Amino acid sequence: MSTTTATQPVARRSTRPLARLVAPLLLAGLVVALGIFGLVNGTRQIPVIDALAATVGLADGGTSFIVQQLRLPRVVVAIAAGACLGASGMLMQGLLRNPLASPDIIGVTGGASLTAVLAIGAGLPPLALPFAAAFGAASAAGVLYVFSRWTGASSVRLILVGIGVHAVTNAAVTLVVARIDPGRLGAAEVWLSGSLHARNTTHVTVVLVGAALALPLAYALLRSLATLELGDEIATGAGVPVRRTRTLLVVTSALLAGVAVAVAGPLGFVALGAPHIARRLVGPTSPATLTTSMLTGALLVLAADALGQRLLDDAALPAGVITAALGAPYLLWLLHRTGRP
Amino acid sequence: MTTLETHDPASRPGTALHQVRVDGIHAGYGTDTILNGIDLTVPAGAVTAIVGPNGCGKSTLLKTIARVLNPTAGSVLLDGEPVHRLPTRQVAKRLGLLPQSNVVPEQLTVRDLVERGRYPHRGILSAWTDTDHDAVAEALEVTGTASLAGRYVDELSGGQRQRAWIAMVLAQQTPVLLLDEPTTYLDLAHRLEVLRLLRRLNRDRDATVVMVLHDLNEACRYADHIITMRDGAVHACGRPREVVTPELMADVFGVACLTVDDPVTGTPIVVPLEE
Repeated sequence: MSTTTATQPVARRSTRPLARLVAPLLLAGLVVALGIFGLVNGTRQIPVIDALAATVGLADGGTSFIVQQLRLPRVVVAIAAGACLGASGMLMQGLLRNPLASPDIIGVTGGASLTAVLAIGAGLPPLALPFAAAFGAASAAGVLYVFSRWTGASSVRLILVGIGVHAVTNAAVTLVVARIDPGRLGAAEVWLSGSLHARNTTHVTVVLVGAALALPLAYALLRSLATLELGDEIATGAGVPVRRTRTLLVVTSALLAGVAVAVAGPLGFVALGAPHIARRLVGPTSPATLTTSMLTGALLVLAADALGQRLLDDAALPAGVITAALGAPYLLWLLHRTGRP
Repeated sequence: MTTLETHDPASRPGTALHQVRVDGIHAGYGTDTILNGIDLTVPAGAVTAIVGPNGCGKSTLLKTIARVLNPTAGSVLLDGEPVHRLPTRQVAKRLGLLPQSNVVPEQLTVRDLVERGRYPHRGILSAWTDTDHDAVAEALEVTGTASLAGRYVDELSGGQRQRAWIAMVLAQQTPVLLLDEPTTYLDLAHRLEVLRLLRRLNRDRDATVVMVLHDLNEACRYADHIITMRDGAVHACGRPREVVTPELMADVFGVACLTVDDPVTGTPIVVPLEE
């Protein structure tokens, strides 16, 4: 704690009320625009009006099929998975009071990856994949849940256990991939790279049901989270049921991440970066910040997918490759920014 | 110059004062027992300072009263009800706590911080009410932080920051305030500022203030009531003049001292002797 008054930097005042209104609206506009772009573009270009009409079945059969069966699921899954990751990361970072925390780091993504590659290795149909991944995410979350009930979930311990879960699941994934039937290796690697290719109505249903369950919980927990971020003792003094709130936050965050990973594979960086960007735009924990974080996540995944399909002439890159690649420059920028006084 | 008469809230009829009683508590961390059976009654509507050597259990006592720590035996009674069994939100409407170390999230403004103090008064989704607004405005006003409301907490000076934290606890509008070393790390001017603010809250609003303090002279000057602790037990309690004596200093701190009268307030000042 510094107690100097003489050498204070020029006081910064927040210009937040305006940002809280403008940022979510702007981001929502971008998400809608990029979503429409995804419906319109592909191997066959479809006029905007037709593409929109096709979403409700008001276009010719061929166009309706392309939009409804191929492009719309992909766009919806990208938006919903990105939003879930954005929300999950924000809850996790607040709960652990650590801006570098994310569901990737505490093992939820690892759990989902492990059961997904096991399912692929066992030759289960693609339809079973989201459920297998959701089961893995839930199991990893279960371990964290049991642990948080057991010790009261202090931040440092939770991070340590999470890193342990992450390491074990990663090792297991490597083992499974190394021993997998060579004919199924391709499918496993595509899933692990976080691809939005060939999403269907099953994926859409899984992610929308998951989001509908978990997002209201996330909003309901925000007020407690905002106080909990100030420290366990002051939160207790202010009347936050600390243990219960922590447990609910772990479960909700894991559920959100699990749902996203189940339908889109492990998309790196989104859960870490989206809440950062949201806080820079609209300030610390508040409903506006959560909304902004979700929209940023959706935008990141949509943009990564659109970019991945166009970056190389001869092949499409999975969205997860693009989002993960964004992580390094972002962290360097963060380092550069926080490195200065 | 103002003279300091002892505050006697009992002389003001009609004010509802809240009773805090500590009933035979034992508490500690893990297998380490720190408090060994403490009984005391916090004088309602007065300023109480808890003093004692490092590691005597002052902070542990405050944390146990504030239900941050569960006692292994005994109970803390707030108006006759055990605080560790009441719904925590209900306790938070009567008992406010300012712990020693807190976390300031990045880009948190003073107003954001103070608004978080309204937590126990709000439902999960209920809107921001006029009562909330007024409570925050008043807390900012009383602590002199209204002009800092839009500033980031992590960019304030130590004294400003401490006042912002006090404002947060005040926004909770509790009749009882517990503070763990509210003046640590502050320079003289800021220490006085905080202590005077707490005394003003007590005099003007009958707030019951309990604080852990390190500086005995400050405790004598700003508290109506002093509790001294040693080895996890209460050693003495009473008015500063009755409690702070050369005998007590030798007993509790193991330091040979004289006491002289504060030329301004007449309260005792501790002067250590040379060996």
